[in-house]
Amino acid sequence: MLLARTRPSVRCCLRPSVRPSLHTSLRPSARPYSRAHYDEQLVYKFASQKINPVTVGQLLKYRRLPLSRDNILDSVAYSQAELPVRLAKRVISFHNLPFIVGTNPHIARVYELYYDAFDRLHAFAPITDLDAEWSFTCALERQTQMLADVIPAIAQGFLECKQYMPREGRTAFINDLIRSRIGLRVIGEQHVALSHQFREPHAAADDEPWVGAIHTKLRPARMMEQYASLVQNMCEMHYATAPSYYLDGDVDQTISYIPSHFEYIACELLKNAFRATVDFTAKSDRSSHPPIQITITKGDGYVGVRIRDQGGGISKENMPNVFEYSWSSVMSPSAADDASGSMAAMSLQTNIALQQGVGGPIAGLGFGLPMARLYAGYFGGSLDIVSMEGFGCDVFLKLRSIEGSVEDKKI
Amino acid sequence: MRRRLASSVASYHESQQKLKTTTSAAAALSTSSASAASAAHARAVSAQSGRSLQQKFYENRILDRYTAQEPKKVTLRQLVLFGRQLTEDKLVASANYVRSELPVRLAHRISDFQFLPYIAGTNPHLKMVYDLYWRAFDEFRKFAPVKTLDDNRRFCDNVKKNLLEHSQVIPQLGMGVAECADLVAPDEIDRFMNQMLISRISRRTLAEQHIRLSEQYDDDLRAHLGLTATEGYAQMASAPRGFATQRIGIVRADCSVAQIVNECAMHAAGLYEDAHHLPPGTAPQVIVEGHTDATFMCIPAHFSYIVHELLKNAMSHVMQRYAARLESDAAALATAAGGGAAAFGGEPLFPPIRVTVCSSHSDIVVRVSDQGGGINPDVLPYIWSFTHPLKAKRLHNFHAVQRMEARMGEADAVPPLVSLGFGLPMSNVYAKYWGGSVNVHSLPGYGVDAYVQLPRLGNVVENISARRPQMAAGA
Repeated sequence: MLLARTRPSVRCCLRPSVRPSLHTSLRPSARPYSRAHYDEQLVYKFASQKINPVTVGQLLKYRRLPLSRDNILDSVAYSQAELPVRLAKRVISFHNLPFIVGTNPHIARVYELYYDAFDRLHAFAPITDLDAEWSFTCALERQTQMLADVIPAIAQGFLECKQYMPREGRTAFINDLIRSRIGLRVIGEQHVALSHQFREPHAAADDEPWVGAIHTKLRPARMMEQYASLVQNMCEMHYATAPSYYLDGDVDQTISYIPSHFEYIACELLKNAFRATVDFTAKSDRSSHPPIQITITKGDGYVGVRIRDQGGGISKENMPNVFEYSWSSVMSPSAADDASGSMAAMSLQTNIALQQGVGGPIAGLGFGLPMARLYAGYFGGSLDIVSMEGFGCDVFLKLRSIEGSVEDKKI
Repeated sequence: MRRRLASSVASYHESQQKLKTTTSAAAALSTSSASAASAAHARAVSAQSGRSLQQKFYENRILDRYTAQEPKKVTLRQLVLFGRQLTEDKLVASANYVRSELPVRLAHRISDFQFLPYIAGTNPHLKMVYDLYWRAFDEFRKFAPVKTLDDNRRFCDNVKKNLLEHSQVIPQLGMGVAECADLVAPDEIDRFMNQMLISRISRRTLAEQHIRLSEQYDDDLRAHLGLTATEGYAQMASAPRGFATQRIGIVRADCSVAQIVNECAMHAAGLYEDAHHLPPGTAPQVIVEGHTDATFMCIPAHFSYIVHELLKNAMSHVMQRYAARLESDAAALATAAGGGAAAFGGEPLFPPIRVTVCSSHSDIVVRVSDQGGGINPDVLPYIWSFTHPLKAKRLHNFHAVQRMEARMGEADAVPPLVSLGFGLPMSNVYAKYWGGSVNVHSLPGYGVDAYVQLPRLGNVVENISARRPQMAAGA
């Protein structure tokens, strides 16, 4: 992870660099298919409950440190109430897919994962002491790891089922999945982080910027500088050349946000900008790369980031596709149709890229923009792209600060 | 019942008049003062127009015949190809095309008026435009078919007269919709205004193109054959125009983007320098970069309007944000004569406005980027609306404007510091007309990026619509 936390954590962070292979480790209570059909009662019971939307107030509830035992028990009670309901709803959403789609191995695997997560988490009795809370937190952490790569698996599965489901249906399903997944992870990560924070008493300083997974004094300019430098190195590694960049605007601005989200979005956008610039220089006859301009602006309760490149822009025909899943201007059309060989290789790359956040190849995966947009929009922000075909692109990212002033904002 | 309705309508408009004259300092255009005597007069006028409205109801069947027809839309390329090799026959055909198109397009817009809520349609300003349109419609549909060049000249004179008379339409519409802001939903008014204005541009484009072609033809003949306009045309053959011509009527096939931007920049700078009494060269500098040699097929007047509006916005924001710099250093200003940016402690007085031109195979995109601090967030949601109540205050400024043709360089008719709130929506209308668009992204605390995108090749059809789909006949 790029943003190293300044406090040591008891457990390793949520994104280990070595991930156990899913095929070997996880075959939980080996659920035969026939049992799945009749075991539905419990899931439907949970799924029929209403979701209480996460509010920003809830996330920031314990910002007054030090955390007390009651705070932690309160937080776990909230997670215990919310997570199984949301997991159950995800499980149910698979039930509504066409049968043939549900039998696709990738989609079936993801279904199993969600069902399993639901099984493990809903079975905890109401938690009243710290030991039980700790085992819940560990289970939560484990589940979060296991659900880490569902998106590429789903995307690959859908690609193989292209002819059985219309594109709008697939897109809607993936959008719902991602949005709900963001919610799950936000609630889960927040509790796990709070739990760790509670058990490290020396981190109870007054100016502690962390509230669980939220960093209240994030400096976008500094982050963009770091990410741009990293992406520049990646670019240099892959293409033996890379454009320069510069930052301007309101560089002292701070925002309260979840760093891993910001990292994901910013790196996706920067990867696009750098790659496009290098590609376009090769195609045109200019002698050097025009620099990439990153402008930070402040708004009322939000921060704007504009990334300007001269990478040739996105053509008019491709503009409607940039926010589609599994579509990439780098990918050739034949690769998109090929349901086996090359897609398997691609999915491996996708896994690496998403797992480690930033590592992996610099382009071609087809998820960057749609997911970045969903992440940006999750806390009320937005992502817009303006393309000047033949010249370059301007990307406008707006992130809303997660602050107590919008306590009852639902997400 | 009718009389009561008419009188209640009259009293509503009477109260509006009272409101207008007490709030606006400028003299009201076509309304009388709010004294008791003239109130009675106003009532009488309204009652009378009420009666003529009712009379018109039965004449509407004529209109229906025209609204049933679809407008025959053209592309820029068609206009160019048509005008490149003009013959007398072609000119006559063009005259008849215009003669038959104008009533159809007018009919559709008259019909739009008729579907406004009654109370809006009886507003005196909107009513005035409605009457103007009806008269024009009648005139054009009764005009005999054009057969000779003499007929054409008479037709052109007629059209020119109409164009002049209708140059008050935009201010009248502006005032009318401002007064109806609380009577009709803003969306509906915006849609109404957009359709009105696009159709107006389309009619004026056809008319002006034809007039200009006729003039060019006449000039050509005279230059070529030494004939005056009154001598018999029978003697001469047509004077063919070469393919080299890039100016066909009001269309230019090879309009240089950078050149237009620079012209607009100079003009806008001059406007603001005059208005603020500044020495030349102090206004924010406009730097043009990107594909500076790009050209495209367009009507330069339309493109200039859009670019001029965007540059005006950029300049005014920048100058407002750094207004302090204007006041502080008089000495610096005094030395800032001639070209280039003025100096203010070593750096330019204002951060420059950067215009980036980008030309792709099928489109031109022009990005106007300024550091004027962005758009006020309270106003931001309404910048594209003609009529949002927040803007209604500004629309009263139309009282100060007598004529407005929405052209660049209307400084004598439209004082530059009077903000009408019209620039952006009007630019959008011009862009949309030929299948382009205008987009604005505001970076609060920093500046604004505005993008104009227009098709390059002139092969996009006019973007006018017929009237709203109505209920089926007999329903």
